[in-house]
Amino acid sequence: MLRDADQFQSHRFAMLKNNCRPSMVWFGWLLITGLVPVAMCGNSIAANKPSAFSGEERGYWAFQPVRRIPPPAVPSRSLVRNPIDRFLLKRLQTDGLEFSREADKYALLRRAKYDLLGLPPTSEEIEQFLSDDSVDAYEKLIDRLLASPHYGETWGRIWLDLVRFAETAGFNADPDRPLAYKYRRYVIHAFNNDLPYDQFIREQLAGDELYPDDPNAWIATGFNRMWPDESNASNVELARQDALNDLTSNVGNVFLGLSIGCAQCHDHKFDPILQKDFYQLQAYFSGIVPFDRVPVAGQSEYVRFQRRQADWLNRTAAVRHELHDIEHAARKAASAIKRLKFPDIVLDAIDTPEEERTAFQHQLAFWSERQIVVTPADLAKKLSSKQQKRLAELKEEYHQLRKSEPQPPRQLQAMAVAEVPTGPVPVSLLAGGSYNKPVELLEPAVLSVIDTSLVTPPTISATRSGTSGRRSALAAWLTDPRHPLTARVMVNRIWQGHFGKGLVENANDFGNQTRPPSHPELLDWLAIQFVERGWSVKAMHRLIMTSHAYRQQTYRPTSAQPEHPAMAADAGNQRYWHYPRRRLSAEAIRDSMLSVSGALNAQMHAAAQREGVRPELPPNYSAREKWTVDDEADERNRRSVYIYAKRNLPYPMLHVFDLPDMHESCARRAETTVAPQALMVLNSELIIRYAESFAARLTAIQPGNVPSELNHSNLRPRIEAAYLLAFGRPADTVEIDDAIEFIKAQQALISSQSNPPSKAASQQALVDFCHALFNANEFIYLD
Amino acid sequence: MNNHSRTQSSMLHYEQASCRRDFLARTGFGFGALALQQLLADDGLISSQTLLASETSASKTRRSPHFEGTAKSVIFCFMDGGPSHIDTFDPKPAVNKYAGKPLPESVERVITPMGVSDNPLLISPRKWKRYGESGIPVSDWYPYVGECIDDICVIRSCWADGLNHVGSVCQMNTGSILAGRPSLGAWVSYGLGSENHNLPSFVVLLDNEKEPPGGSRVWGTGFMPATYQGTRFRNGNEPILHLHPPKEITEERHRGKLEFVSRLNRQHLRTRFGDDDLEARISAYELAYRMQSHAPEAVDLSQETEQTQQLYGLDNEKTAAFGRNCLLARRLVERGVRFIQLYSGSGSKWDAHSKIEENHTTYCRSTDKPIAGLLKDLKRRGLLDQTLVIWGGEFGRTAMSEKGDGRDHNPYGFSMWMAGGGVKGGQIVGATDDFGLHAIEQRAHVHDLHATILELTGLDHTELIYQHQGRPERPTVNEGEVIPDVFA
Repeated sequence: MLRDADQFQSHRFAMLKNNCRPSMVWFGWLLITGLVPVAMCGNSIAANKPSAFSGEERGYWAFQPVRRIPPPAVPSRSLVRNPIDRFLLKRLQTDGLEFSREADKYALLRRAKYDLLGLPPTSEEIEQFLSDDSVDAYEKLIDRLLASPHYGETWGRIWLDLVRFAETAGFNADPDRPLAYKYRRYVIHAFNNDLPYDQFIREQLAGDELYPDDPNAWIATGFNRMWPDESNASNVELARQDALNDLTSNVGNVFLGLSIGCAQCHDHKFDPILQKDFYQLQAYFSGIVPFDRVPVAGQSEYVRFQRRQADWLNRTAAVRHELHDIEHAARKAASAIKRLKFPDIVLDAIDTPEEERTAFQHQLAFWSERQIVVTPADLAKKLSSKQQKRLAELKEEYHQLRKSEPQPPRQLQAMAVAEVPTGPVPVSLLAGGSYNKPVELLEPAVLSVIDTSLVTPPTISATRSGTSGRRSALAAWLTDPRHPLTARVMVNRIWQGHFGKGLVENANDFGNQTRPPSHPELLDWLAIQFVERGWSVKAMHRLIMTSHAYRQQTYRPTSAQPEHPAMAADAGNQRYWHYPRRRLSAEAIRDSMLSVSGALNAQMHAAAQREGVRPELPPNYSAREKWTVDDEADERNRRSVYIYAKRNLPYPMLHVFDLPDMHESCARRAETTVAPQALMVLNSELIIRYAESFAARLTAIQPGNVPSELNHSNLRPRIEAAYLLAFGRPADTVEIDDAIEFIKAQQALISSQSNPPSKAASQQALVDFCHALFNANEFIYLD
Repeated sequence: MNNHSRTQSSMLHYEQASCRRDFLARTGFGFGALALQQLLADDGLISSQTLLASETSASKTRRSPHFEGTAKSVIFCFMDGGPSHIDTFDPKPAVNKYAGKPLPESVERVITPMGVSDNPLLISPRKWKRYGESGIPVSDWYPYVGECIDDICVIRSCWADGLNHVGSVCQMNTGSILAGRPSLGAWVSYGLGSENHNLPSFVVLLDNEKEPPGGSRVWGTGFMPATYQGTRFRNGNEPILHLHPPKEITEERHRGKLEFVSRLNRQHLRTRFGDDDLEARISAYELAYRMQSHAPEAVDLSQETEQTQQLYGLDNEKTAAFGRNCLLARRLVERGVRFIQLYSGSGSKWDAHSKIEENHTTYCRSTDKPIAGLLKDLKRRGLLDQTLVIWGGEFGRTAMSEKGDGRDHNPYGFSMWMAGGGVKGGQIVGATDDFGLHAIEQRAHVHDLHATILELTGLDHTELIYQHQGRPERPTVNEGEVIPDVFA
């Protein structure tokens, strides 16, 4: 295994050395310094590129049709629960290996519950599952779990990682995006409702074009606005281009599982992705204009509305224009200094009345107008008394006219995108990725390497008036059941969610920098099942979780045992001969402490219709960032997925356990083990408070308080309850004795050190015990 | 066993499949797991052979560089907000000649955040003095540093891509104006590992409570695992967040709890023998415990003589804040910390869009004596040769005036300087035009500066690679050239 890895690395490194350096750097430098005329570099870049891909490139596994392969026959039937097991066993048996036996019911329940809901099992659930002797007890458990609304909170979070969800824009000011929470809510509901994945794609990419009468579809288009955004960007055209690039890369990572972003400045160094492909893909999105308020209306209704609106605009043109001219001149004068920083092209966009702007002007205005806000008082200073008088008249007149302004049937506030009637902005290939070095105009097109006879390329036609239909066409192409990537990429993500790693290890990169799939036939079989089962994500959970592979126990050796023979063949468990032990996610760790201590507020969503929940920060954590802690404990103790996703201040307790950065798509979280985690769980007053709640909960399991004298009989039931809550299993007698010994020792220590001796010593000793459980490996690792 | 693809790895500068022993060696702030291993061996839990194997890998804690570097540690003094190069290390007589008038037509105009391109030039009332044998001019804002000029290499031709603070601070730290990449300190930690098992290998010190633009992300790891991130040391005797338990929990009670946690974990490990992740986490707890005593000792400046404290300006309230951090940096260097970043005026306080005279008088003074003290102290202790000291900000400032008495951002040409750690002192590299606007000779982009800094530490920026989403990522984003003249 290791040797393979080495070879893989050295091959890759050789490619890198040969390909990646001098020419590109050198060339980029010439471009930057302006030593090469742009026209010429267009030619040389173009001349550089193969007109067609090599057979090897076109034949790369990920671009081939998904194969329909029957599950193989395997001799041993005892450990086969569904076809997944056949694929895995076939490979295992080739090496003389077998599955491990099934995990015990405690481990299975804990594993399944965390996997689907991100929470520890409750005592009632343990009782229910353990006492259910029916043959399908486990299947019923999976169905119960999949029906829980907490499912969307856990699996929706995986999607939020992919789209780099945040409730702030990032950069220096990191301003709020007060409507972003609606997108999070949309994603959670989409998973809970098992929204077919193809529909999920269509809504996010083109909800505005395809379903303008559905508020959720509008909210879904927030996907196109997740890029970080500098509120005071000096170079507006660059900021616009950065946002489009970020979106294009993200579409590549999320839906295609390809690192298309690498082709922004040059042809992809390893995969058959041309620089041209990057900008052609970008062209599907070049017309998007960010809107925070959108009309919700069916197509015919919307057309009628648009017609009436056009009439009204026509009728009111004289008043509007005069109003605009006076006000605008004054605004210009009042913002003269601020306007200096922008070039004419940006100022022209700002100076064009909003209704008349092109998409490009809308985009430029989006990044610039907010930087030259003029207060009414400043505006008034720039108006003569005559103008002020006329302005007042016009405003009154306009006010009257607005009474007849056609209103769309419904307005929605959402972080959305839509196109404007002037159509998308032309897109060019950019030399070296520089926004101001256009080389060649491009039309929208999908990756050239994907065989057009396999998936019909998108045909663009307007789905409704006022929009180009480009994104709808892209969505249709992606959701074509014959698409070689879409289903494979998503089933691989689902597999990764259950086994800690995908069949393709890098879920965001199916290119050749990632090892080929460990089980290609299984990957294809799953992809076909996914499409045939109506792109149902829940059906895939059910399928995977009811396999024996998933139900196996983890590897549980002791030092006395000889090493399992499978260790020699497959120490890395590439072949799934046991279930991999896994660490809980950051959210699951915090939510578990809250849940076990009885403090969790399991209500969905934040109480207020606003940005996320703000729990306690460590003392003096950051003087720079605003973070007003919520007053109500109940509000602070909501599930972690609802915590304010602030790019410049990721919530410390989650951040320390590898919450992603919120700037780049995260396909699989890092799992680091660092001392600051230990310090956080050991010493944070907040976590000690959770332990106090946990101890209080234990105290309350028997009537009356914990007696001041702790003894075997009154501690035992409490310790048993604690183990069940924290570890999802009963404690054995050695563990109980150990715990009693510890609690008594702590009690003695605490009373000896307090003067006068504290009556609360026994309770504090119990807190120490609870706190120790939070710190134990068993608390944050799943068997 | 759980050694499927993890984020740590034994293959130098490649993150791929991990070897379990190496994972152990690099957990926590990059330290060995020997204490725990010894513990387990004492318990008869592991064989002496395993112990030996782990010792071997623990020695990798200090990773071999690509070649022998001259700098073992880096101290980066970051003037947050953008110091004016034309008023400190790059005198421009033409600016005063044209003061009150716009730039001559012949000078290429640039975009600046406040649109000052055609504004009249602002006079620079500085007095310049040639210092040392090299006779390099330094302004009256940096007289103490001037005395050290023969150890300093002034790079006058720096340039960067950002216009605003957040992007520019981000680039000077990570190479990119867009957030998401690892910081230079993280790359150094990743490349060289740690020399100290009880302290982080990358430490950040701020001179006030405000964080620089972008917050902790500028010492973060972006797409790399958090193992390599900078740790912000706070003021006072609790430099690390959550270093100690709350006051009401006594040391004995705390230790009792820790021992119980350790018992629970060892019990758990008995039937999961050899699981790297579980062992690593046990080790992280050991390290956390050791840090509780080592970190406060490292930051205890009362161990320094009064003379040393005065050398850094601790006896003057105007210089004390940055002086303390400089002295702390030297103590951390002595304890094997790899990369220390000191922010002066963190929260963009150097950003003198107006009243630059007042602003820079304050901030230059607050850093002048402390930085000079640091250089002199390192030198007399024989540490300067192996410690690279860097001075600079995210960009310089324009000759054109803003609001009549300030200067706008200038990323097109500005100065930084380096000293010690294998740098050839007493020289000037590169030049800007007559107005300090554009770098024109030996232009040094941020990537070039980063390549040079890494080279001094023994790391080849083209071979320092981290695999991310199918892309072999380098600290210099596939660009950058080492600046050869910098080296001694």
